[in-house]
Amino acid sequence: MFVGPLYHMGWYHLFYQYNPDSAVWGNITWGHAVSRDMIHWLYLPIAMVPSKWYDINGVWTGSATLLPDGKILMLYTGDTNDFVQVQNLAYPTNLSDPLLLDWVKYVGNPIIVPPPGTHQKNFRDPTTGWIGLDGKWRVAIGSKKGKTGLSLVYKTIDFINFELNDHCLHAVPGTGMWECVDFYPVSINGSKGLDTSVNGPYVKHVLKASMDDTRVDSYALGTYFAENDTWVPDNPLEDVGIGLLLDYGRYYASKTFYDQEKERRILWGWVNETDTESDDLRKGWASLQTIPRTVLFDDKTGTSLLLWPIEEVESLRLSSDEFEGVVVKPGSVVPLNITLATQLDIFAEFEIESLASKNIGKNNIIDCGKIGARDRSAFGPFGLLAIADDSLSEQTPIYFRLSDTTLGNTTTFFCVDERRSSKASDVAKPIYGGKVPILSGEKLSMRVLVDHSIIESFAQGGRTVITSRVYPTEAIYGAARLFLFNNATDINIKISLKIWQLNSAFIRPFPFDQSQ
Amino acid sequence: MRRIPSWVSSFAIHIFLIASISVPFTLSQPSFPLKDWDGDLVDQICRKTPFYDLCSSILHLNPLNPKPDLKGVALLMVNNIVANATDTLSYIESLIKQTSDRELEQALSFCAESYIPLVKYILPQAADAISQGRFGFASYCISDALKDVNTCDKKFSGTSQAPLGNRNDIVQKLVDVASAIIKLLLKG
Repeated sequence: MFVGPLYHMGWYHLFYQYNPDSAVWGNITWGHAVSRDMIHWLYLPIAMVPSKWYDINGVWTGSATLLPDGKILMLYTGDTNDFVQVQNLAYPTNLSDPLLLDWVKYVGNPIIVPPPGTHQKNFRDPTTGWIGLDGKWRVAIGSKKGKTGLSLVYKTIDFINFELNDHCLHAVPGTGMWECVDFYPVSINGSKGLDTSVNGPYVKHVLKASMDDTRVDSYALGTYFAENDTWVPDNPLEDVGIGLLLDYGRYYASKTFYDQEKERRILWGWVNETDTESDDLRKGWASLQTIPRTVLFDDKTGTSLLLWPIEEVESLRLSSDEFEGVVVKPGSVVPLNITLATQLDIFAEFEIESLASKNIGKNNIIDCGKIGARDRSAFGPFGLLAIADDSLSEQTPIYFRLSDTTLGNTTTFFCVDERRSSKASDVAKPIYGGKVPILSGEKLSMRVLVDHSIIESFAQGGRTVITSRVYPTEAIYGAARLFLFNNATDINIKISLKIWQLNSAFIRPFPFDQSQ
Repeated sequence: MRRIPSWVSSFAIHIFLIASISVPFTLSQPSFPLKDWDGDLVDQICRKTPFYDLCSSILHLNPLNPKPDLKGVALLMVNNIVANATDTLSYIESLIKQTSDRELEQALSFCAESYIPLVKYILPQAADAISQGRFGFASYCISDALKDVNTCDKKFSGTSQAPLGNRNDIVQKLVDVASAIIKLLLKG
């Protein structure tokens, strides 16, 4: 999980929940890393450790608020000696240090304790503050009452004294505890991100929460009423916890921040392991961060966000291969001749050719398939086979399944099927997927980032995203391959691709002592 | 007489080069940039950089008193890069305003995007770091600076266009020299 991502004096900062002693949860401190471009990370010394009664059982997650005068304030949840969740304030010792190496905890911590009626174990993950109409700051904190997940709102002027609002920001029955609440504006007619305090007629607000019960990151678009600090979803049927997901795969505890330098809203996501704990202990590490994603409002559908890998990932691109109009017939697999298939940036466009001999009708039952990519239907599945070996004993299909050949009329699912991703028997192999709206006049496309054991798949410019973890035993290093496949029965697929090899990001400790 | 490259003309001042080590002149008026340079020190340092001529031109053109040391030299170099990079950035921005060629404009904007964080953050931070004795951090900043300048350069290599003339090239060389000097500092 991430804490307080921020940009300061030319450096992006990432703080993360880190156990210095083991590859499993415990002794949670704040690891710290910096980067000039959010791709090439350098590890710094641990920023904060459990040291006071109010965080001795864990320095947990929180958010940074950048004040107009340049001060950086970090609000974070501490787990006390009595296992009570409280909110604490910390700040950098020296703001003119671009690396923000040292942090100090406010002497008067905790600054917020669970209010009456809120259980001590249901009160955590303060958001970045935003300024309201009265000039006071607001901060949201996730909680629950019974089975209703909700977000409390606190007001403050100095980030030391807080008052709880009577009404919560929003609540949705049956959704359980809301962790890692995130609340921010998006522009409905622009391509820039917005500072967290922005509000106005051309703005919608995103309310996001990580669902503790189901371990997914859910969000909804809606309207923020600054007069009483409440938020209402555009579509109550797709409210927080019951509607859209930021990512339909293995993705949790994500949070955004506003990159004031490049005017973008950036989303970080935590992807933990789906292999066994004993494997994690043996390999000595666990958990990943996705390539950061920009967040924009999808003004074409008007009802979702667009999430896309930051452009800085392109600096990792090495050589490329292009394939134009490769025809893949029903029931066939086409190998792609590329040098390596373990670190890739793939962009693919798909054209559908109805087969004249077939009686083309509608296909009503659409999902990812009961048996994943092996479940053949008239217009799908078709797509890529990533992290596959020559004999296809291991493969991870990334695919579309359509209900109609007319793109404007189809209900489409975008899926990743891990059931044959590995011969290992003790790793999770789920099927992930979500609907992706396709508007008439659009081309069917996907972008896929492959990095050994993590695959990030983006459909239609980022309307639906799936992150997956795979642990192949055969399809590794030089033995990994990339294929095209078409398991539909009634259509040919014509695929055009551009595939880049991706370099390593050489993530390492900050080279303070050596000259590189 | 050492040939002074044309780009240095903006720094061109009438110079008296005092080679003597044992009789340092003290500078009483800024308009006479006589330095108490240890000619040997300049030679020693510049020989360990990839561009000896460039290095010693700069050190001989800029007063550094009273006692020039490696740290002061590194700082002088970095400040020189800041001046050059700031200048190059202004030039890029003026070219962007003048051109109507969209492709050229895009390439130039890309370069501007590489130069802006350089001038705004990375080079000033390298200078601060040198002053504070944090040579590892300074070294990293300078190598990052080189990456940024190279990225800009790549935009025009392979094309017939060279709108920046040799400005980029000069900044690259300056960065290479500074990098070498900071590495000397790191070795202690």
